[in-house]
Amino acid sequence: MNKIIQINLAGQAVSIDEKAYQSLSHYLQTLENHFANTIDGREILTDIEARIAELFFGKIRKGNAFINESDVAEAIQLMGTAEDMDIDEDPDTQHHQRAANPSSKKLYRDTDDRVLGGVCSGLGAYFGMDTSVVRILAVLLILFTGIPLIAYFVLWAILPEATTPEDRSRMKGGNTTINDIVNSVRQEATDVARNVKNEATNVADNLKKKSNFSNSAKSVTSGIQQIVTFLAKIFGAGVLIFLVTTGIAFTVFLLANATGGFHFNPGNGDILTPSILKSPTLNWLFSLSLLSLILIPIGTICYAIILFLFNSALHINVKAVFLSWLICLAMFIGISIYSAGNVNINSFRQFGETLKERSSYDIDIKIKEIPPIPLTPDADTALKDTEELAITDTLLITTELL
Amino acid sequence: MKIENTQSQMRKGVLEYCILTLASTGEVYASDIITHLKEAKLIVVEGTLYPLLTRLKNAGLLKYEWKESDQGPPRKYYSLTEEGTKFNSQLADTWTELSNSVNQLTQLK
Repeated sequence: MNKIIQINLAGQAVSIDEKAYQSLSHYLQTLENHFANTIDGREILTDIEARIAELFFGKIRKGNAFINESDVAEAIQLMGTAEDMDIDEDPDTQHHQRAANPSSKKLYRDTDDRVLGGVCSGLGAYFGMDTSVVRILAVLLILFTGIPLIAYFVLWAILPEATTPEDRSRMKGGNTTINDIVNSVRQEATDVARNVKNEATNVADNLKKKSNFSNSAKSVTSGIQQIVTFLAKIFGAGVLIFLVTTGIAFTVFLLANATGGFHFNPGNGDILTPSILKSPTLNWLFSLSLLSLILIPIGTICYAIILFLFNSALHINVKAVFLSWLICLAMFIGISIYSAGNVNINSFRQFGETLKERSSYDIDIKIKEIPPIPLTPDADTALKDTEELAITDTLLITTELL
Repeated sequence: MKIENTQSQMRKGVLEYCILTLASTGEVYASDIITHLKEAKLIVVEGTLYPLLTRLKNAGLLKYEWKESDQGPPRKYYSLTEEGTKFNSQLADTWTELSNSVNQLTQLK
């Protein structure tokens, strides 16, 4: 069963099957993306939409109650793909334009060739390597160091999915590599610089004319406003970086204490964990999951704020972030339970003994720490026990008070 | 080197001339132009034509008029502008020269 919906195509009401509508709107979206950067794009798209509407109209006149999937497929075949429509451009100049465009080569996730998120295949396409090689490298690195695991989730969350053929060609094409955030900041800076310059010329012009002072004052204010906004953004980014670094430092500190991998406070550190996590691999995974548990939400929030501040074209794949976080949570809980199950009586006994040693040691210190009470020579009732002395002392004080 | 690339390059070169010539016959609708071009095997899909028409129109060689249609949305009917007529006759000269030259060359062997 399929829903029939009414759509407006080039000003014409068209009844169309829902699935057919989906493939039609995907097709039109692809064309729109393709022509997005050309001046004539809007007009070309309108013409194509009108033509498709006309084709559909013909179908309906022939007696079809609505437009179905095969009608859409037929129309698409007749119109051709976005690449077919480039026939008027010389392939060489086209290639140069693409290469000169800084966004010509982009990292994508190749979801057509994926095991988990398509990150490895996307990286492979980007660096011109075979996907299997990238995967093997990634797995080896994860097994030995664990670091790429975090990187994987981060990339999964940040990288857009390659959906259109355009994306796919950009995934492989060109030589330029870009850092979108850096570019965005740079763009912002040049914009502000240009605007400030414009405002300055405006002010100068107005002053020259010696007229309309309020106007030039307004220009100055808006110029200042822009500078302030830009500085505020930079400041905001600075605060974020500070927060992230502090967050990381704090997490590392927590980890160090919890796993005993690093004695921040020698002698006390391993009281927290009675060497449950004997295996270094487990230790690593435990640290990694704990780190990710804390850093993923912090990182996502910071990233979102940066996006908001600089209107970047990057996006966050919330689903992937959440999924990564869940995987970390599962790993954390899993290791905790596994470790807890591994605590046998012996290790408890050991732990108990350690505690006993520690406490007797502590008591020693306490005894040593009690200041020697000056005893007068005539107090020959020489108290050998500190306890008794204390009692007498208090007694003496009370009597003095009375 | 692929034969398809060279072939499509050759076709592309004469495509604009053919469109202008078709438009010189009077007011023509995009799908009429397409029918002719398809018959001549100059294009394969309709989509190819729309960017070309828009470009020629924006270059001032073509103009269009909206006409109501009983088969759907209003249609654009294209015709040559004055400039387009000149442009087309120049292209016609070039084409005649070019085809003569090519014919002579190929007959040499």
